[in-house]
Amino acid sequence: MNLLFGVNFQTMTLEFVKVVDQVERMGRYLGHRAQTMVDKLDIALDWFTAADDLGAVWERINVVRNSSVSGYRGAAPAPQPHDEVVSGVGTLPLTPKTAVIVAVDGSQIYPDPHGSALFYLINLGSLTYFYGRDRLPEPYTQPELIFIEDLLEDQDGRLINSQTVNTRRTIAEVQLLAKRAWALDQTMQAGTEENAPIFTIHDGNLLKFFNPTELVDAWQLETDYFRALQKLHESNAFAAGYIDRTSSSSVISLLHLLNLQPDEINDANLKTNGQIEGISDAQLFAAVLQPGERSAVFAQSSPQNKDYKDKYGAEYEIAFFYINVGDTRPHIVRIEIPMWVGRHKPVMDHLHALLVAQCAIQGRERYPYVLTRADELAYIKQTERQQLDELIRIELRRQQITPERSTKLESKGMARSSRRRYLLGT
Amino acid sequence: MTQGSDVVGRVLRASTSGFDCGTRSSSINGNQNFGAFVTVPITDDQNQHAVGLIYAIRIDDDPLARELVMAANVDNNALLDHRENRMVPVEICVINVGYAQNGAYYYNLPPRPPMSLIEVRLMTSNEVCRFTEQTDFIRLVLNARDVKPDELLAAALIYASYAYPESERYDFMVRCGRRTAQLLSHDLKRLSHILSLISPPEPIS
Repeated sequence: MNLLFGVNFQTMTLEFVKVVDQVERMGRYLGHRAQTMVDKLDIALDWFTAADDLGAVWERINVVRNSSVSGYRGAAPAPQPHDEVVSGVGTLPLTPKTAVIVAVDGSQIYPDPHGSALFYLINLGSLTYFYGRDRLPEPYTQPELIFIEDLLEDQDGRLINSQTVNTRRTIAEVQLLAKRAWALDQTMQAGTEENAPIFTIHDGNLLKFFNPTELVDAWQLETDYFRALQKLHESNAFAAGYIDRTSSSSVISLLHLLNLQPDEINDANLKTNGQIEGISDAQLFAAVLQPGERSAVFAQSSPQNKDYKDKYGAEYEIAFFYINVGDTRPHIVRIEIPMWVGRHKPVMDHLHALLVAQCAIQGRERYPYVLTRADELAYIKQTERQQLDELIRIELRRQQITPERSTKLESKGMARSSRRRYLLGT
Repeated sequence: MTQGSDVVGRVLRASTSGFDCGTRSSSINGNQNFGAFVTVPITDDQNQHAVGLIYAIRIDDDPLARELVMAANVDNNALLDHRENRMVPVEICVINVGYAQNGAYYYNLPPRPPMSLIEVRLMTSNEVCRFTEQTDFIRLVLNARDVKPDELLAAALIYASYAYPESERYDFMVRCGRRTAQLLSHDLKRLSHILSLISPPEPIS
């Protein structure tokens, strides 16, 4: 091994001498950008504080909804009568006495054309947490191996892409949430489980776009997703999507819209956020929300959300709000909810309080405990992937089938593997 | 000394000089004590048993456990979840100090190690008394490497003394003290330290 200053140069391919200068330039660029952002944020904060007249906001929203202007993709107040003042802030409410929180997360092994056989695997993990009761949380896992050709190929016989696997995993997550909530609701109705509101937490947004150009069987995926949402609703569960690192700028777009002159409202001006372009909602609310506080509830203006509402009813329109779940420093998260949740003020308060309480369990890493554990239960480790591959190879040999081997993968493995030193006498 | 279930754990890894056994953190009770005498079968027919002393108990952490500790208040359900569902393993390390064969004790290393996943249990009071009738195990403890032999010997002697009727405890301790003095006659500093560890505490005036 060629060790120089403790660095193994034999295995390095990135030439740092050529990168150092670029890193310095990147630093200068980001420094300049940060200063520009501070100025823009000041403008956004002024506009946010001024947005306290719901009537004026609705007037402007109606302009973009009922005219030839179609390019507005920003926030709007939640549907009336559940709308809240844009610049309003909700203080941290009291947690409910009891509640049941169910979270599901998933991970996957993508189909590998260079693997021993063609398959993909979705592993779901779920944790049911009984808030307000000293009761052991219930973990649950559900692995599913997909190996039927029809589910591995698109209509042209090509291998399905990773987006399709991801979307199928996401739908399976919501289906499992619905299944768990349904079972809980049944036991509560039968009196074998203590009555308590059921909250289901999905890791990610609820407003999903099933793009037919990217996904195999997009229409079927959308149908399956809504069936799962409907089952959640029928289970008397309150659903929420938790987005930890949000880059959304829907509220910023709303502020931009509110500060355009009437004759400036056109698709061209709505393509960007003008003077406050580049600022995110998280940056805005980090400056507005104190620890534990939430923003007003908004609805997303988008063709998808309109489609949700038109096809499945007003209760399925997706709304959102932001919470500062941070303790000493701001940590803004976006929570998406269907309007069957958003229309109940006490439920919104409970959801708000429970999410903050869940995030506080973990100390510094502010993230709902149930989601952390669901992820832990779902995550497929590298060693487990190798063990599964070995299991499949053994089974194939038992069935007198020679596992496929990829010359490409094996030759890459040879080149990537570590060198061996010649030792006298070996 | 032994009440209810006397299971300490199951063997994870072993050699003739000792073994590590594991159990769930929720199963931790009075059975896993530093200096306790344990026994484990080393043959399928249960005719041979290794006899050992617990010299270390380890509980591993992970990043999530560290985060839970950092919270202002540790949530009780998260604590239950961590102990029961996350199956935090507790490792109990044992050093061999003898073995039993057909009911007789030998004060030497066992002829073979126990197999993985075999149940390790505490010795009963009767077994401890019979094993410590002779004090030859003290030599093995004093010569043990990678453990704290002086503290381990003291803990083991105090543990064993409770297996005896109260009227016999003093004599047992004196007998063991004498044997230790013989073995450490060349190292008075160490001897003095062990004797101070096993001496009965002075009554508070």
